[in-house]
Formats: sequence, C-alpha cells, structure tokens
Amino acid sequence: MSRLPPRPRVLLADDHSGLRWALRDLLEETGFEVVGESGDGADAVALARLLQPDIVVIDVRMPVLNGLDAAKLIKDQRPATQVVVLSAFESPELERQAREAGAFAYLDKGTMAGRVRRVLLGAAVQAVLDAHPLPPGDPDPRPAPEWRETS
Amino acid sequence: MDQVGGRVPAVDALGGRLLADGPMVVCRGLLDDPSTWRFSANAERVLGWPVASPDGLATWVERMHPDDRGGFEAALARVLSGKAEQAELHLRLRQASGGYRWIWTLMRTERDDATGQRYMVGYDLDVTDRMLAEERVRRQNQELERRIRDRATELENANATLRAVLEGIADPVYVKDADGRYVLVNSAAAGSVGLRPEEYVGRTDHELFPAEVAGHLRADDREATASGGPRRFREMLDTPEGPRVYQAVKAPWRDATGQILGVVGVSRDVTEQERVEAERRRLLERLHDVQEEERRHIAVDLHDGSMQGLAMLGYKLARARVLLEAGETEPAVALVGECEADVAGEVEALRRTLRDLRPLVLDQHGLEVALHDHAHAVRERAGLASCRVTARLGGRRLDPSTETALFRVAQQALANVADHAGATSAEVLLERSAAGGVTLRVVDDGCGFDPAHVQTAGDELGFGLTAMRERVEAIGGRLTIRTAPGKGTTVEALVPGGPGRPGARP
Repeated sequence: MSRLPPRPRVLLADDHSGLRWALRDLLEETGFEVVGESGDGADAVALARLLQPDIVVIDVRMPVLNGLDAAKLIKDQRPATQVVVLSAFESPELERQAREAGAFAYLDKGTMAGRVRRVLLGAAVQAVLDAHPLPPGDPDPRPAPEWRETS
Repeated sequence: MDQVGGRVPAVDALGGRLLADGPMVVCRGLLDDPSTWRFSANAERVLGWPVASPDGLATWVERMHPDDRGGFEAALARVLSGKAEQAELHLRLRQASGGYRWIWTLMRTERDDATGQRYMVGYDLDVTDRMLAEERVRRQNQELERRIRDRATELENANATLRAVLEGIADPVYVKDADGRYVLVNSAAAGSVGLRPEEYVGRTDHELFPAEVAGHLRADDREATASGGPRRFREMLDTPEGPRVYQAVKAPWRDATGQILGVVGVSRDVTEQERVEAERRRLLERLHDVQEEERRHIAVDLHDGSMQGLAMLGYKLARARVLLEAGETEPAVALVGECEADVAGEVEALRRTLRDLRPLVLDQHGLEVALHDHAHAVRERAGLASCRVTARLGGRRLDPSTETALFRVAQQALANVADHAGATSAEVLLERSAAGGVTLRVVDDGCGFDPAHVQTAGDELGFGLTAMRERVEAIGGRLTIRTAPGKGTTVEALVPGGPGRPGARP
C-alpha cells in the first residue's frame, strides 16, 4: 500500500499560452506540481516520456499532433499516466474518442476551475493505483476507487 | 329514160316524206329572187312559224335575234354574191311562245347542170338542245375551273399563312416524312445550320449532321411518333456558331385520316438559358462556400480568441479566490488587475470579430464612415505607414446593397494588402464616376502579383479576388485589378449609382 505523493505531477499541453499559464498558476496554487508545459501534441508526447508525470492535461486542437492521437501515444508509453483532455468543444463524440484513446476524463473549457481540480485529483489517485498494481492472486481488500463528478 | 323519168317523182315523193318527218328544214329558190324560196313541209314544226310565208327571207330576218341578224346578212350576202360557195352559222329564231331556239343554218348555191340556172339552197336544223347541253357543259366547266382556281388560291393563301407563321417563329420548326426527309422547314431551322430552307428540304438528318447526332435525332423522332403525342427532348447540334443545345418538342405528323406521315418539331435554342442557369447554380454554390468560409472564420476567431481567453480568465479568477482564501491579498490583487486587462483585450477582440461580421457603423452612418474606421483598424493591425480614405460622395448615402458590396470589396482588398502585399501604405478612394455610377479604388504600394497566376491558383488570395469580383458583378458592376509583380496593386470597382439619399452624418 503506497501513499499519495504530496503533490501530483502534471504536464500541461495547450497551444494557447495565456490559458496554459493561467491553469499552471492555478494548479501550482492548489496542490499540484506542473512539471512541464508544451504548445504542441508531439512535444507533449516526448515530454511525457521524459518526465513520466502522473497527469497530462492536453487540448484537442493543437499543432503537429492533435490531443487525441497524443493521448493514445502517451498511454502506450506509460499506461499509469492519466490523460485529461481539455477541449473547447462540448462533443459527446469527441468524448467517446478520448475515452477510446485511453483518456481518464474529457472536460470542456467551460468547466469551472473547481471541477477541473477535482477531476485532476481523481486522476492523480488513479495514476498511483495504476503505477502500483496489486500482486496477482491477492484479493483486493479495498473498495474500487470510483470518481463520480458532483457539480 | 322513162324508167329514170318515172323514178324521179317517186324519189322526190320519198324525199318529201323524209323531209316532212325529219329534223332538217330545206329551202330552195332562185338565187336572185328570195320570193321564190320555198321551205320543206317540216319548216313550221321545226322553225316554229307557217311555211307558206310569201316572203321567207323577210320572215327569217324579222324573227331572228337582233344580235344574230348582222352575221346572217353578211354570210348570205357573201353566198349570194358568189364570194363564198357556202356559209354556215348558228342563229336564234323567235318562237310563237316568245322564246328563241337555236338553229344551225347552212347556205350554199347550186347550179342546175341542165339549165345552167343557179339556185340558193338552205339547210336548217334545230340545235337548241345540243346548244343548251353544250352551254350547260361549258358552264359546268367554267364553274369547275372557277372552283379549281378558288381552291388553288385558297391553297396559296393557306400556304402563305403557314409560311408567315413559320417565318414568324424564331425557333426552328420542321416537318420530316417517314423516311426522315425534311419536307418543310422555316428559315430559323435552316439558318441554325447555315443553310437556306430550300437547301434543307429534301435532305435527311444523316445528310445534314454527323452520324452520331443524326442517330440521336432520329431516335427522338421515332420515340415521338411511337408515343403518339408531343414529347420533349434535349438535343445537341454543332452549328456554325459552335455547339448549341435545343429543347425540342416533337409530335407525329398525321394526315386527315390520322395516318402518321412523319414527325413535326419545334426546337428552342436553350444554350444561353442553360449557361445562365449553370452560372446561377455556380454562383449560388460559391455564395454558400463564401458564407461557410465567413462562418468558419468567425468560429475560428471565437474559438481561438474568446473561448480560450474566457477559460483563462476563469482559471485566473479561481486562483485569485484561492489566494484570497489563504489571506494572500497582494498577489490576489495583482491577479485581479491582470484579469481586468484580459477582459479589455477580450472585449477588443470580440469587437473586431463583430466588426468583420457586420460593421453596424455601415448601417447607421454609411459607407464613408465605415471605410474610415476600417482603414484605421487595418493600418493599426498591419502596421502600415498610412491608409488614407478619400470619399467624394458629398455625404450622400448609396442604397444599402451597394454600400455593403463596396464595403466588402474594400475590406477584402485591404485584407489582401495586410496579408499578402507587404505594402507600406494604401489608399482608398470613393467617388462618383462620369457615367453616374460609383467608383471605389483601393491602391497599395506593395509587391503586386501576376494576375494570370492567381486566376488559376485556388489559394486564399485567388478566393478573395473571386469573392470581390462576384460581389461587384452581383450588383451589376465591374471589377478591375491592375497589378504586376513589384508594381503594387489597384483594385477598382465600378458599380451603378443607386438613388442617393442624404447621409446620416456621424
């Protein structure tokens, strides 16, 4: 049984730098450690491999490589890393594709900052669980973590 | 001698009987003494008056139709004088009933070989019935001839009417027999292939057109005759003016009994109509493209601009709250100040988007003001040294569609200046043209371009130029672009001047 690290490590990928900085400052202020930032999808994949963050927050519409394709590559590299897709589009279809790509959550950019933070906390817990799987055959005494959103 | 002498009275008696019962009257007498002329016994029956007239000739003449007297007397005189051996003529004799009968008369002189005495002999036959029959036949013939003449005239008139109708129709009209041979065409039909009607008639489609075309035409003919009623076809012909498209209506050509003799057709040249229709469709498609392009532009502006900006503001405010909750007033205040500046920036961006969408100043204050504002904005945005607007409409407003079109042209031209020209300055000129229209001119000192290259390139610049041209042409104007690589660009729109109205001054 491992304990939560004091500060979940986050990689931010969004080509809108103003937005990225604002989110960075907010997360830094509320218990997260922003370990890296990227303005395009390909860069984000490379940084994720290098930094092995708990969470990657990634925009869908980005230069070079879009967020959904990047999410898939990031999950392939390190399944324990949780990808939270942050998109300007409120689209059930894009959300489905994001889940298919292995994303932990799909949030549109109108989402209130408080909820973004709660989802990221959930992702952090999931990252720890995925990084430390139970040995086979040992029944898990803990209840399965379930992160249900409440607005 | 005796035998002969005895037989003569018998023969005379027989002759007298034959004469008395026969239709021919005989008269005989001394040549120089009409009082000696005697008529055969049937004279009263045949001629209608008593034979025992003392003066046969005078009675004849008195009973004769006045019109016939001259001819009779002349003929008689010729015979009596010996100028003619005999004379024959038809004349009319009055009857006791007052009516006339036609008599055929033969007058001749005879000489008695024994005595040397010369006699006058006349033969008269009533030919009234024959003459009447002949007259009837003649009249019937005349009537027949008159009817034939009338019929021919009628036919000629009908023909002339048909011709006039055919020639009055601007569309090609034609009639073909069952073998596909043209029997009737109007000038429009013949002219469409560069022939005269008389050169056209008698020929078949296969003699006039390429085999493939002729095959199509004949197939349509067959379909029309088989269907029994008028049918519509789209047919294409190569004419001296190039390929033309016709809308043909074809129907069976029938005689009075309903028997099909061939096909009649009228073909309307719809080449121009189809071209205009295709052009209209193309313009409509382009309009939709342009609309979509504009919407996409706006959506991208809102997505990349306001959407991200507002999300960013949300994060900043959330952080400010966190800071305040933690009692860190100073950084929170700084952050809120940042937010104020961000809001101002967002407002400006939204305003720009709205202005591109529809400059309300154009509606409320007119083209001149809108152009001044827009030029100012472009100068700021593109970093031009100058972007001057000179308007010489005397403050008059144009009609709204003209103002919109000219504004869009100026907007597009200035967008090109800002995005492609690399210019240091641009100038917008708006004035009345000599012909009463309005001219808008946008001139820059940028790099220019090769118009021939852009015409074919489907790039953004080409798209913009096409959009400008269509906009101007849609309101009946003309767009001219003068440019060359390194020579700057002049975009000039000349549009019809709408009814001016006093401008609402800003």
